[in-house]
Amino acid sequence: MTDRTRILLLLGPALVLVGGMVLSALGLALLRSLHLFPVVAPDLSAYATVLGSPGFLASLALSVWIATVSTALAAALALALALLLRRGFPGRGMVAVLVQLNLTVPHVVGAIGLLYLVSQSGAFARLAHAAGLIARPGEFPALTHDPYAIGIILTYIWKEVPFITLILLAKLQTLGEGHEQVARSLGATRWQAFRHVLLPQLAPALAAASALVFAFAFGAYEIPLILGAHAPEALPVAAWRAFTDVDLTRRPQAFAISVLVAGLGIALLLLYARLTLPQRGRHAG
Amino acid sequence: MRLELQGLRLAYPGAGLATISDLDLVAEKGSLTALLGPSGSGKTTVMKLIAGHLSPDAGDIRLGDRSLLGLPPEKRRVAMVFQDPLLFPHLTLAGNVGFGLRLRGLPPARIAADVEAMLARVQLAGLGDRRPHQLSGGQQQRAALARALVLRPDLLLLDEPSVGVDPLSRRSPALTRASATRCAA
Amino acid sequence: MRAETWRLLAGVLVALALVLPLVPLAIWSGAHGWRYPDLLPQQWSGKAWTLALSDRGGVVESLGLTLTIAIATTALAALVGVPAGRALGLYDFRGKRLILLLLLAPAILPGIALVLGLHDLFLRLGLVGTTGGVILAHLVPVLPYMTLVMAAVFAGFDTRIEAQARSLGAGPLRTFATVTLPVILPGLLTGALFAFLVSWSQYLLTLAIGGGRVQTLPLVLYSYAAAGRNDVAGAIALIYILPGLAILLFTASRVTGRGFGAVLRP
Repeated sequence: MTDRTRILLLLGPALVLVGGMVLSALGLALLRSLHLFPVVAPDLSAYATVLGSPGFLASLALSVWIATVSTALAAALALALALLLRRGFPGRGMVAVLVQLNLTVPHVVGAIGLLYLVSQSGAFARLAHAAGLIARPGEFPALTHDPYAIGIILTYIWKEVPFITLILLAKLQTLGEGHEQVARSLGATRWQAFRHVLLPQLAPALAAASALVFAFAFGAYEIPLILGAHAPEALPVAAWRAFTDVDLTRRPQAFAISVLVAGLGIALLLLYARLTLPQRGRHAG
Repeated sequence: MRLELQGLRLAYPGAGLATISDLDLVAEKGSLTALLGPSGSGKTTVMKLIAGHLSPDAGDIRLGDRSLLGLPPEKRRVAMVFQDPLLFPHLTLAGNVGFGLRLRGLPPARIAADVEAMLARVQLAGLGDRRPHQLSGGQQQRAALARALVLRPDLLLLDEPSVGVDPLSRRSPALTRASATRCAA
Repeated sequence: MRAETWRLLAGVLVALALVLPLVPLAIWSGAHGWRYPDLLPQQWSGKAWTLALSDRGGVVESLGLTLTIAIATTALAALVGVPAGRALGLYDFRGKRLILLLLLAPAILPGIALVLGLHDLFLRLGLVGTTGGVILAHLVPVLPYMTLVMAAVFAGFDTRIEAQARSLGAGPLRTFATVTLPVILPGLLTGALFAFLVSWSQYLLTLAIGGGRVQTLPLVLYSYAAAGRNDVAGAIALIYILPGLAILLFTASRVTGRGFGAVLRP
């Protein structure tokens, strides 16, 4: 058996399953959004309707806001946490275990937990009441079902900071402290060693993890479902609502949204691949 | 510059490093001092103490007329070349050698000239645009040496200076003509 | 203050923040009503747990279904993913980047981008609303995950030990069972446990392909929360995080640093 046949036999089933499902899903969504299937009546009306509707644009803006803010804050906090966990302090092991524990908690649990924690009748509101800061629930700042999606963003930060932190810790472990010590010996202050030596080496891993987080925060459904406001809805919620609408003419619009989101996802995928996959015939630099 | 270690002691230097108890050592200005000992005897620990990557439990480290204790590594004017070259992978060879000069805020033209001259001294002329992974083991080691020498440190610490250096360059001009006090292990 | 003290303080803050959202869930699960503005419930009761663990609540049934789906998905993914990971880890060939790109796609494409199309596909295959359909759909995120983890495992695998076993008289199957499998087992086990969690945590995919008829734990959890039964939701949430907790305790001793990067998903 040649290597070629062997590779084909080993990879075949996985490729058929994943490739089959992913490509047909993307293809079907595209066809349905263009009214090309099952009856061929091609037109761009679904895209025109979606792109022309204020509701869609508001949902898109909200999802971009959620994903951008969540990713930026999670990345910054994760960087700080990874640097903290690299140093020794009493209780470091405990924090490390909690970080890993958090990673295994499903998002839906985090979202409901956060709802019970920060809603206007949640645990924090009760604490504020007990401290005499508020008299009625309505006086507690709206952190859930709010226009700024603060509850949603908090959930993503809670879930994704540990994710990015663990990726950074793995990278830090491979890097070691040698480069920074050399930099210090060459006259770099602690900050300069971080800024000019450590950060550039961490940047690809940080960017790759951030791309994953951005894509997830942009496209996840259950978190905005639980914590989001009724209008505007996050894009995934809006798309699912259009998809399940009794008015079947809205389905192509839902498919159009999913195609647009897939376009963004493919861009993120290419960015992620550039950052993580070894480059053939080029220097990793 | 005269290097003087007085009663240097370190009980817990961290993973993989040997302990030091009551070490006294004097190295005169312009001299070359070699620390010899079996692996695990603490040569690297002593160098990291002098360079400021570790702090002693007791004793003093004096260079010239000042004590180095309490000074962070970057203020000691002590350059340490580690056993591994540890070139910065995100910078070119010239970027690596010019690293310390840039931190001092020297004008770019001056940095470029110093780097070029230093590369020539360690027989790496013309390779400034290469990335570290494009250099051989011996070239990387010489680059690490150049990166330290270009700063004209008061004291140059070389940890296992012959590891990875090909025999020809072991007697490189840079090693024999440096004016700093040198300690090698 | 010493730097270590600051780090200790920061560490305590982080630990608190990590645990905090789970606290109200635990309180609710034992509360007999928990009216605003009471800091703690006036009365405690086990009724949420009794309901969750009884036949009436649908939770036990859902727990079994969720476990079945996650175990079946993981087993299928291992069956198909181990050979695929071997090909990717050991060989370099034309088109490999494209295949890696395809395998990364389900992890990176936002859920909503694939789910609607998948629903359409499964509708045509008559699989919507079936447990088998949900298992197959869960393979979309789980199988690439398993394959990539196994590719990392095989990248560090020395095939010469297999050649050695063959020359000592072992057939291909025997070689796999006695030489290859024991060597890849730690990686396979870790990959499988986290693959299980990927399936275990699916929400939208199950909702779409299950068509409301395949009620896994996250869907039941949401129903109770949406119906205002915070106490039952709290109990289900705690049940729901148990497998992850067990997996973490099981792997914590072995999964550290370097190897961990390969098994992470947001």
